[in-house]
This record gives sequence, structure tokens and C-alpha cells, in this order.
Amino acid sequence: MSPGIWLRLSLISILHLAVLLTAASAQNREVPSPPSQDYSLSELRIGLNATDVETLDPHLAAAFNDRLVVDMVFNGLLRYEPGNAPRFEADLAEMIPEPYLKGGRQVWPVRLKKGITFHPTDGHENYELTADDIVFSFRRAADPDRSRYAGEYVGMTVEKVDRYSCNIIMEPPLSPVLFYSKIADYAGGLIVPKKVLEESGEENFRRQPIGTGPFRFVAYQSKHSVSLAANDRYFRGPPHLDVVNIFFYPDATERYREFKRGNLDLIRGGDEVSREKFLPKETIVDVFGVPEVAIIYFNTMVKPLDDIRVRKAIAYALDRERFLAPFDSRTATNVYSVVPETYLPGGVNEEQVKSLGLDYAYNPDKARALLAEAGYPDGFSLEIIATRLKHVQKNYLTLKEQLREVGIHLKLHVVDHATMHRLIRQDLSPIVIYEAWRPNTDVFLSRFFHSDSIVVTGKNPDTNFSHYQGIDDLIVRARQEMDPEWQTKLWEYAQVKILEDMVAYPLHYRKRVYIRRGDLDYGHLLHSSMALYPQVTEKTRILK
Amino acid sequence: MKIYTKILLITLPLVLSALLAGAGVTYYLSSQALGDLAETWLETRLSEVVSTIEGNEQFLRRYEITDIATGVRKAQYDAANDIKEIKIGEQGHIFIVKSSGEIVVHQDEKLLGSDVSHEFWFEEMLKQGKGRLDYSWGGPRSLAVFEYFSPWDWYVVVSDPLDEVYGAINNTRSSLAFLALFGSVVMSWLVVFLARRMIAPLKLLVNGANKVGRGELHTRIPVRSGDELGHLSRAFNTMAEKLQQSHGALKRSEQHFRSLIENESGIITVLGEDRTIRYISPSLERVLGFRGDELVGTDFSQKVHPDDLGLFDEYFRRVVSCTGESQTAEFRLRHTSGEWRVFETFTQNLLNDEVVSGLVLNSRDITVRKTFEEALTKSEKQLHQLMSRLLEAQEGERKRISSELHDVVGQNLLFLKFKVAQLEKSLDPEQSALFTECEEVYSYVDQIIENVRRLCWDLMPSDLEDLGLIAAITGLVNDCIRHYALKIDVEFEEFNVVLNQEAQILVYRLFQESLTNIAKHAGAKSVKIRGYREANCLCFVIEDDGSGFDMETVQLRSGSSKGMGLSTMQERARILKAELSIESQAGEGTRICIKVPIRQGART
Repeated sequence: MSPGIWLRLSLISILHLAVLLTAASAQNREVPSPPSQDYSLSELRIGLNATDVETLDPHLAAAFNDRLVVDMVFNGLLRYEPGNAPRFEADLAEMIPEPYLKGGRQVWPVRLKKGITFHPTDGHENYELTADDIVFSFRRAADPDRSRYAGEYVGMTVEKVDRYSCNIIMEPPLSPVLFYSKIADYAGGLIVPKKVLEESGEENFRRQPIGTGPFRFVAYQSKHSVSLAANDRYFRGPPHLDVVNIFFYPDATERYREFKRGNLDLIRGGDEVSREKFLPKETIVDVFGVPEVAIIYFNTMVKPLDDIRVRKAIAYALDRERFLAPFDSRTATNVYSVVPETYLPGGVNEEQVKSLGLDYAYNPDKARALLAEAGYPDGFSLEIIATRLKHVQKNYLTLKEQLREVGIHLKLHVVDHATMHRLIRQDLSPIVIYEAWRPNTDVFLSRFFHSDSIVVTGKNPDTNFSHYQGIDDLIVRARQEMDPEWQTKLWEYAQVKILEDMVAYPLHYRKRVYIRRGDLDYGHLLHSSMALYPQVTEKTRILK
Repeated sequence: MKIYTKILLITLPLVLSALLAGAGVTYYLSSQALGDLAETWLETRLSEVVSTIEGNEQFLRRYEITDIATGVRKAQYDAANDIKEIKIGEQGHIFIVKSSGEIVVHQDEKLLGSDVSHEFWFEEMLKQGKGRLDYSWGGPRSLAVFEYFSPWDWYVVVSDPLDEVYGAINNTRSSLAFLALFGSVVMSWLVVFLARRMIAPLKLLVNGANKVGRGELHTRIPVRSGDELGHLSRAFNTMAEKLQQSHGALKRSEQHFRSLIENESGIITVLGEDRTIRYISPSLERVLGFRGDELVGTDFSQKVHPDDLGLFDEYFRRVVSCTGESQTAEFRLRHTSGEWRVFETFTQNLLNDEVVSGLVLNSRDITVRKTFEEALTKSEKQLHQLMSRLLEAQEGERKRISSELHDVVGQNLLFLKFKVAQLEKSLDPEQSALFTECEEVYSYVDQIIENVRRLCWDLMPSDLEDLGLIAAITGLVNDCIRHYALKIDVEFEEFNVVLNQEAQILVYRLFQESLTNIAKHAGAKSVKIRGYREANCLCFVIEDDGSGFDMETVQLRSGSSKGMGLSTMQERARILKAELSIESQAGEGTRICIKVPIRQGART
């Protein structure tokens, strides 16, 4: 190891020590405080609207803050072009694979780039990524005990060919657009180290992730921060940044204030538009995709929501515009199908939904009539779980307010966002408002509407909060359809069916807003990011 | 009428008729074809629309989408959307009517839901199920094709206004009319242009011919084509070039002759048969002082010296009588100064010549020449007289010297010889040396006497006077044989003629000169001398086998280098009035022939 690297490591250690000391002193102030002293290393400080990370295991990470960290630590065989999703490019793989059929099976041959190494840890030096890691990683991603995305990897078999080659077999065959999203740098597609996981165990990995990405995990401070350092042996070249520190500032006021003071370089923005005018004039506000889509899911297995008339009554009782009102108009847009047609194929646009009479235009009288017809002329009451996360909470509050107008009374049990995620997956809330993005329509529909994804009871329990089983066949047929036009049409019919059955009410999607200092260069143009943040790569740098 | 106009009158009506007929036929055929094409095109669009609808309907069945209440509506919506992508020309459209008469798909959303069940064309549709309509419904008259799609109870209609369906034809009609008109204009222009272009070379030729006619022989026609006109132009150019060359040559010749005539010292005169002057060259003025126009039309003989009129009359008659022959005469003509000038006139009778039709007199002023000739003759005469006298004097002097030598020097030498003999006789025997001296002197004196005697002989051979010419020549020959070791054959006939003393001396001198030349210069080994009489002359021939000489070279030599021998021989022959001929060629010897005329009165 060269003296330069030793010096750099020493500086990084000092820096992390300073972060930890600061964190310790900040315990009493209830909010984390980033280091304000001068430093000579290039450090990026990110402020997120989250209280903590739940997990840093890429196959389990679901919240945007968890995803943000794993995006910098892990790679996929392919990756969405930074800032330009959903375009793919080869990442760990030498090239984007093309399928062939062998014995009636669809085979996707993958050849790895040589010399890619995982980050070093206490017990392991940098060791080289091989086909064994690929086989292990995808088997793990398909294991529901170790992966939140197991449902997406059903039917996938990975066979090692040699040290750097493997074949991925899909049964049944899959269209390229669906296959690529499975092996790209998103959720289950992120590659984990076999040896580390086998030797150190799963639990340890969730707090000490080891990947091949441009930054390696250094430290985690609960409800305070995650620290990453540059991976000098990154296969795309050493990063410009030496350190990336991610701080948790759930309170927008604190987050904006620290940014204004210069203690943060990049923060999650959003609905506090009025705060932006107080920021330094060189500040840059990025509004970009991919958006998160807010949808109201009705549990069709519990009374009174098991009655379609009740669900339709709720739909007629809702006015999308009132849900949209609290949000920044730059970011929020109404949607009429569960998959937003602007970003993904298979979405159904407003005109079509209206022409089919499935827009459930706001009509409280009709809502009351339907309720009466269903035997609830005076309405009913429901207890549901809500989040403390502000922007999601707004939707819950708007929902409560509007339903009250037709006699439906909601009792909100407000918990922190991570708890809400846990509880709703335990099927404890008959109505769930969930904001999410999925890499493609199939994943959207599969994870939210396929019977296998029904929470708790599903074959691969996921986020089918509606307990819906009505479009299983359409989802499977579309997944296997090789003609993109027909595949899209099948997805459209599936969504028409969802609307017809009113198992979910699409509200709106919201683009993401991040605020950065003027001299922060992402290293790429920012149009849309599947990582749900602007993406920090080896090219990201502070120009000063 | 010009060719150009004729071409236009012939071709234009034909071209225009052909164009109009072509346009008419094209319009008719095009209208038929386009009509069929338009209907086929509409049917194709209909087929496309129905296929799109079927695709959406079949999609439902293929994927067994039966449990979605709005599935069919969604499929219909998709079909309607897909149909929007199908364009029916610029003005055409697609609409779909249910069997109830309700319009369910139409580009004009206001018409959606309209009821057309009462329209006659809708009833036709219901009856036929599939076919063609010529109808009007709240808009322009249209052509439509339709087909019933039973799964959805849809009558699919593809409609297009007749204006558009046949618009192409109508447009074609106006286009064709325009094209015909335009074509006519273009063709007319083209025909005019081509006619002009065709005529242009002819015009050029005519202009060129006119120019050549005016004498502009440098005129050339540009050759722009390889056709007959091109050949004609080329031939014209060749002709003009030849003419120019000929004219140039003629002009140069004329200039030459004009120059000759103008600068000629002579006068060229053309006379009629009546002696009238019809033409007289400009040199007249320079030669005789008259202007040409003064004399033209006058009688030529008026200018002839009265003393020469007889001669001129005779000459003129002779000339007139000898057509085509040339005659020469000399006569005098009067100068304006009154002086008479001598002219040598060469006349050619060209009375029968169509061009000249006269007598062409070429008169050259030889007055000066005549004067010089007379002076020369006189001079020659004087020279000859002088030469004769010189030779006579020479001969006389020779004779006198010879006599002196013979009579005085010879007698003195004899006396000296006698004295030396006397002296010898007087010497004592012991005076032998002196005796030898005396003997030598005696011998010398003897030789001197011999030399003197020979000198006297040379100066005037005594045999000529005593024994005659033949004896003298024989003596000369013997002397030559003795001195030069030549073989000389002498053969003289009996002349029976005696030349006078003077002539004999001249002949003797000719022989003497000839033999001396042969002995000294010819390198001959043998000489043959003959003498004979021939008619009225005596012929003497001297032939040798020597080296000979080139007569011309010798004749061309100037006086001193020429030598006196030959000139003297010629002069002697002239005095003799003899004919002297010398024939010689290098390497082939020399033959000298002297023919002395026997004068009347000569002694025989």
C-alpha cells in the first residue's frame, strides 16, 4: 500500500472519529450535527428526511434512504445509466446479454469483467468477484427468507460456467425489458459477496454491507448517520470524493438550516418550497424522476371493504385534486392507473380511464348511495396505520378528511415510517397508502396485485395489501409475452381490471426533489434515477 | 414563302394536334385508372381499419379476457385509437355506426352518439352489409366503402369526399390541360426554334453566298452539325476557300502583270481588225507621252512613222491572216515630243479568242537598243578594221623584220661566220685552244643563223610566198614534228584553188597557232591534218588526241586569262570570213575545223 493511501486512510479515520464524536455530543440535541470543522479531504454530506436506516442489505432495502446507501456500495450485472434511467448499460457484466433458447429454456449468458474486487473488511482483503458470487447472489435474492424481492426471481436459475461466466436461465422465458431489470442495480439485482455472507453471517451484513461499488461502508451511527469512504480499487476508477456521510434529518427545518449553514452539501427537498427562497442563491434544486406513486390500497378481504360497492363508494368520495393540493406543483401529478403511463409502458392514461368510466370522478352523493346500497347508509369506521413521514402522512390526513364527508370515519394510528412499513406488511391496516416506485410494470403489478404477493398469506408475501387475485393470469401472460405491444396491452387490461374492481385508488406521483450546493457536480446529467436519489458515483465531485 | 414559314405551317398543326390528342387520351385513361385506384385505395383503407378492429377483438379472445366488464369497451377504445392513426387522404375520415344507427366512432366528437338510422344510405348499409356508397350527409358528396363487423355490431365506414377521390383526376384534367397548353407552347417554341435552327445554316449559306458574290471571299459558314447542312456548309467553306485562293492567286497575278504592264518599257495594245485601238497599256504615257484614253478608239497606224507604214501594213495583213500565230516587226512610233521611237512589236492574233477578240501587240521600245546596236556594229566594224589593219601591220612588220633579219642580220652573221672561219684558218696549230674557241663561236654563229632563219620563217615563211599554202603548212608540220616529236598525218586534196596571199597567210597563221597550241598544251601524241574542198569553201581540219579542253570554260574566261591565241584565231577567221569551229572535250582531244569560203573571182 502506497504512503499516499496510508495518509488518505488516516485522514478518513480522523474524519470518521470526528463524525462519531459529533454524533455523541448531539445526542442531547436530538438532531444529528454534521462536522463543521475544516478538512482537506473531499467529503460529501447528504441530509435525508429519514430517522434512520432499517437495513443496508441490498436484498432487503426498501426505503429510499436504505436504497440510497446500498446504491453507492453495490453493483449489478447491468446498471441503469446514472441519471438516465431506465436506459441500461453493462456494469459488472462485460456486456448486456442476449438470450438464446436451449432445450426449450431461455438462457442468458453472462460474462463478468475481470479484476473486480469486493471491498476489504476486517476479515477479508479485497477478493475478486467471480461467477460463484453471481450464483450465490441471485439464489439469495430469490430466497424469501433473505430477500424482500424473492417474488421477482421465481423461475430464475443461475448456473456457473467458469470463474467469470454463468448462464441465467429463465423459465418461463422473459422479455428482455423485464429480464434486464432483474439483473440491474436495483434491489435483488445487486450482487453480494458469497464468502463474506457465508463466513460472517446474514445479520452482520445488514449493518456492515460489503459490495463492489465506488464507496465502501465505514461506519453506521443509529439515527444519526452512515459513513462511506472511497473504494480506491473501484473498477471504474477511484472516486473523486473521499468520503460520503449520510445524515438523518427527518425535520425539514433542521435539514434546510444545516444546508444553509453549509454543513450539508445535498439534502432531500420536497414540499417545503417556501424554504428554498432562503437558500444561498447558488443553490441548485433538482426535480427528477423516477417518481414515487401514491396509491390507496383496500384490503378486499376485510369488511366492509370486501364489498366492491363500498370500495367504489370510497373512490367516488375522493377528490384527487385535494390530495394533490399540499404538494409542490413542480413535482406532483395526478395518476389514473396504478402504473403511471408517463414513465412505464402499460400505464393507462386519464382519457382512456375516463372513457371507460373508471376514473370515479368525485361524486359524494354517488358514494353515499353506494354505501347505502351496500348496507352502510350511515357509513362506518375503520382503524388504519399511518406514517409519521410528513408527505405520506398528508395523504392519510386528506383521506381521513374526505371519507368523513361521506360518513366513513378513519382512526389513524400514526407510527414512524419504518414501523408503518413493518406493520402494514403484517396486514394490520385495511387501508394502506403506499408511495413507491418499481423498476417496471411487471414488478409493479406483481408485487402489489399478484396473489403470490399478498401480505402475510401470499406465496411470497410482499405488498399486495389488497389481497387481490384478479389479474394473476394477465400478469403472468404479460410477463411471458415477447411482443412488447401485446405485453403492454395486457398490462393495460390488468389495470383496467384493477380499477374496475377498485382494489386500489391511484392518487398521484411525485417526482423527487434534491437540493445541492452550486459546486456539487454529480458527474452525470440528471433526468431520472432508479436509485431514487440523484446518485453519487465515482465521478461525483465538489468543484471547489 | 420562306422555308421557315413552310416548316412551321406543316409541323405546328401536327404537333399541336398530337399533343391535344395525347392529353385527351391521357385524361381519359387516367380518369378511369384513378377512379378505380381511388376505390381500391378506399377499400384498402377499409380493410386496414377492419383488420385493426379485428386485432383488438381477437386480442380479447386470444387472452380469454372475458371477466373484465369494460374489456370490450377497452378493446373498442383501443381500436378507435388505433383507427385514428389511419389517414384517409386529406379530407376523408372513418366512422363507425352501430346497427341501431348510433355513431360510436367519428373524428368529430360532436357527432358521437348521433342517430343516422333514418338516412337512406344507412339503410343501404344495413341491407348490403358490405359495399360501396355514394352519399351525402351534412357535408360534401362522398364516396364510402363499408363493412359490417358483427362481433361488435359495428358498421365500419371509410369515407372520402368525391372532390378528393376524384380530385386527382380533376387536378389531372386541369394539369393535363395546362400541360397540353404548356406543351403546345413549348412544342411551338421548340418547332420554331428547331425550324430557325434548321434554317439558320441555310440563311448563313445564303448570306455567305451573297457575301462571296460581293467579293467577300473570306466569308465562312460555321459548321455546327454533321448533317447534310453541315456538309453543305463545309462544302461552301471549301468552295469559298478555293475561290479565295484562286482569287488571291489571280489578284497576285493581276498585280504582277499589272505591275509588269505598268512598269514595262513596252506598250501592250489590243487592236481591232480595223486597226482601231481598243486597249492600250498605261505604260503608253511613260513610253510615248500619250494618255491611254487619248488613243483608245483611234487608228493605230496614225502613230506609225510614214516611212514604216508600208512595212506596218504588210505586217498587219500578215498578222491578220495568220490567226493564232505570232509575228514580229520593227517600226517607229511617234512620241508626243515629235521624236520617233523604234519599237519591236510582237503581235499575236487573238481575233478568234472570245475574250480578247483582237490583235495583241506587245511593242517594246528598242530605240536605245537600236542606237546601241548600231554603235556596236559600227564599233565592231571599226574594231575589225582595226584588227585587220593590226594584223596586216603585224604581218607587214613581220615581213619587214623577217626581211631585215634575213637581209641584214643574216648577212652580218654570214659575214661573221666567214670571218670566224677566216680566223680559224689563220691560227697556228699551237693555238688549239683559241681554235676550239673559234670553233665554238663558229658553231654559235651557225646556231644564231639557224635561229634567225627560223625566226624569219616564223615571221614570214618564205615557202608561202614561194611555194604556196600547202608547202608552207607542210613545212610548218615538218618543223613541228622535228621540234615536238609529234606524229602528224597530213592529207591534202588537190584544191585547184589558189587563195590570195593575204588569205594564205591567215590560213597559215591559223595552222601555226593550232599546232603550237597542240604541241605546247594538248599533250597529244598524234595529230591528223586534212584539207579538202567542200562546195564553195576550203576545209581544213586539225584533230589531235590530246587532253582537250572545255570550250565553255575557255570562252567564259576574261580577256587576259582567255589568251590571245583563240581570239586571234577567231579574228583571223573573221577576216577570212571563214567559219572556225573548235570542238573539244576534256580527255577526248580537239578538233579544229576552218572553212574558208572561195570567193568568186578567186583563182583556180
